[in-house]
Amino acid sequence: MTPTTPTLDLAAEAGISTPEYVLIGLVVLAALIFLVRRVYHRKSGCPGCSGCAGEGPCMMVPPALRDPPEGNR
Amino acid sequence: MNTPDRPATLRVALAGQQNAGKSTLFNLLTGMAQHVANYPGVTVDKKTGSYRDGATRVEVVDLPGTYSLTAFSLEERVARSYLLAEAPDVVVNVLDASNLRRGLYLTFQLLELGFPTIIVLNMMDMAARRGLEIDLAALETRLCVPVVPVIGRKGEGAEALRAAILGAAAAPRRGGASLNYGLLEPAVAEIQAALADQPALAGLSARWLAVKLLEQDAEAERLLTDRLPDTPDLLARAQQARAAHEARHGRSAGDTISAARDQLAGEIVATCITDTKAGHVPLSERIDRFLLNRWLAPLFLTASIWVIYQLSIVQGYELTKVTWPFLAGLRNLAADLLPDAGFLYDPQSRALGLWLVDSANTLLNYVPIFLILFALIAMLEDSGYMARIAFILDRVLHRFGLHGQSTLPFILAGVFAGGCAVPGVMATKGIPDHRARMATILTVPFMNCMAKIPLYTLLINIYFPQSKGLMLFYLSTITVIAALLVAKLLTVSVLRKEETAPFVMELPHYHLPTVSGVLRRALDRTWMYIQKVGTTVLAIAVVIYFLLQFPGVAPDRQAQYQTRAETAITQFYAAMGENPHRTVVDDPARLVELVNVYTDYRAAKLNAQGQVASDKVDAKYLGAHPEFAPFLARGGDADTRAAGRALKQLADARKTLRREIRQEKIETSLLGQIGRGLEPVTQFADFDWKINVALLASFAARESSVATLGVLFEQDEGENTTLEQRMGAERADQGYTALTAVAIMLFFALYPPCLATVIMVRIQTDSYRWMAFSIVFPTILGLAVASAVFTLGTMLDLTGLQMMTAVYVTALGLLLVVGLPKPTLRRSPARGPQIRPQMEDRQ
Repeated sequence: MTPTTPTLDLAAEAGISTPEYVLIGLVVLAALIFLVRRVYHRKSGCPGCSGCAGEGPCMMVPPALRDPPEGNR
Repeated sequence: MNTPDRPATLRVALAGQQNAGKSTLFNLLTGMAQHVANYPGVTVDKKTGSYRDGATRVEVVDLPGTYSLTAFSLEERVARSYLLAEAPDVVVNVLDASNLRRGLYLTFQLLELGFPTIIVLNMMDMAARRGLEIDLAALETRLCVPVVPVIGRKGEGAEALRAAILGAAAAPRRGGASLNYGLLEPAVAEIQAALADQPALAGLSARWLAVKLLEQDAEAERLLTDRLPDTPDLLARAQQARAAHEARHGRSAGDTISAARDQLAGEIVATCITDTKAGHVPLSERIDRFLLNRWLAPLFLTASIWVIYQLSIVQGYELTKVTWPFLAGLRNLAADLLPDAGFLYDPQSRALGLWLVDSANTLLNYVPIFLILFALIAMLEDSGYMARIAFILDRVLHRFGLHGQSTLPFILAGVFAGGCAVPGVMATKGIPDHRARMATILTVPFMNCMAKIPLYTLLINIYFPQSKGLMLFYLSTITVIAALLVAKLLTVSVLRKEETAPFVMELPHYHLPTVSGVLRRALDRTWMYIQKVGTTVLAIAVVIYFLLQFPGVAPDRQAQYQTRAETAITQFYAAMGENPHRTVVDDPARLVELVNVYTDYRAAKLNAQGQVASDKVDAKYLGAHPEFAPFLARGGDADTRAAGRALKQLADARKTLRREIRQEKIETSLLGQIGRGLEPVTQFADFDWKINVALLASFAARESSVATLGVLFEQDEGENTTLEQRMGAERADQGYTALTAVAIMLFFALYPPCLATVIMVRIQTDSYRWMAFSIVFPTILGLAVASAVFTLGTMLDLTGLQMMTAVYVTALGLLLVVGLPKPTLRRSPARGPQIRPQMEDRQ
């Protein structure tokens, strides 16, 4: 006797469950808050450099210019 | 309890020219470790700290470095406004002892302001090394204020300075040396007397204000008008005095004042300093005779750029082949930790998790390139050559309506690749020439910021593997050419009515870079890149994921895919028939597990190089899943081979279905629809919807272009290949050529600034109109160039390299036509090849 073919519940696999909606919603929300805060910080400036939200001095400014080398300070 | 000599609080302002060592003294006095940008425009804000000296709390304000107290630049305005508005108890004027004459120009103006002043001679050791013997007592006598010798970087002289500060605050007020303005002195005296009679000007130095009015200082005139709105005759008298002086002596009052300051500075230096090494040519100057030679300088500069690209991007890319397996391992680890893949669809947690890992991996793959690039740039900075580059480029910049101080923003933004447009635009704050400043703000984003490098590297490695160095050289320099041409266009059109101002620049001495310094900086900046990938890029990746996942495949299409999948599964079980191995997968959940293991196993076998590695893969998978061995192992009896064949057919069908679903989901997604909607416009540049989506994503952060491509050219389940391999294969299938890559790269080079830069443009221009311009203009320009490149290249049947060469030669020709004619007729005599490491003026 030929065994019956097992079936996969592909419809359930295709759907997005409530916990998954919550997960995506939270992650997207967190990402948006992070990005908006970053934009806000850029607008308001920071102690080291008014164009950046970083905490320390801007690493992109060559230290030779940011903090002149010995003998040129 | 405070005595009259010991006030509870003292306010001290540190003032001095750029690079005199104010920051060092500020840190020395306050014990802070503040890194202060001390280069025109990088930082123009004042920094505040404090220390206690006995019962007295001393507040120290570090003012921006200025050469003068005129109102040309923002630094000067900030410094002057503070002094006038806050009236500090003591002004500490920091001077570079090895270059006293230059600093005295500001000293005279500070003394005229009438504050208790202390002169700090910093870098006394440097002065001694250069053979300068300074007679401190004579200097005190000439300036009539205390002079304190200090070696800031060694901490020597701090106590003496603290004592001098307290002493100056406690001493009865008396003016410092008063500068005699010679032929202009009667006019100064007359206006000074008139101002001194005005009660509304109490607290302001009448002499300083008189001199400023004779200099026709707009800020001083405004100050007078504000305080004395009903006495316009004072302004008129100053105007008359200026006119009379000019008519009588044939030179402006401003020139006379400058000359008097310079003459006195020269006299003081001559009488107070003995140069024991007179005639000795410093090493820096000897080096500059070659590196800054009119004809050799461009050659050295070009060679530097070439070497940097060869070492960093070409050789660095070879290193990525070593580091990629680590990133691939990271992805495997994430895949193992996340919930298992489904048959057709993955759980969202898995899909999102792998999406983020792929986004990050795509960019982290370039870390070796950045490490080398940043180390080389750090070497340039530490050696002092970076400042020379500013000097060399200044000659060129001026011809295109830009300013010498535009160089710093361009360097920050990535004249050498690896900069960032945000500090670049911010650094324009110090440019006194408003027209050049606006042109700089609008062209700085053309530079090759570090976020552009991944896309260049990606496309060059796919389409130009034999000419990587040349292509990178083209791209890095054509952005500068484009910036110059656009700057010229802007300054003769929309910006032609803006104000201009003189340029001042300083060259530091050459230094031998230290290994630790270079490594620290390279690691710092690379870490910053990694942090950005781990934060901003991932946040954007999340948003893009959302925009590409929804609304998802339509229900009727989903049903069709399910039907096809069910058919494939039915065929699998039918093929298995009464095969004894079928019992392993009687449970459908086991079937999905089997297909996943099989897919991973095949990918691992494909990536395994050599028999030993292949055997290891066998051992790993067969050991971990012995029950699936009949399906995985090759050979064996007839049942085993049949099981293997059936599984392969099922896995292939599943792979095809998943690809189709993924493609359809992205194409019908929110972002995909926008990408598709743009195709009618971008088709002339041969940009398909995927490229459009990547370019849109890069507006948020440039790195996102590659991160987005990395997920748009998504990996199949179990696959773990670089984006170059995936994108190269897929785009070759679709008939894309190197010509398209050239169009994309040129568009990307001219593309509008990223969001952060746009915000900075808004801040720096204080105008939404210019902000909009900074987005719209480059978009039109970039698209026009990309479309022209692709269309012409296709018509003329040119290869990508040929077209890029043609574009480059055309742009270079245009640059020469625009830039050469006028300067050859009016070359500045100050631009000789022998530039001392001193101030350079250009009017």
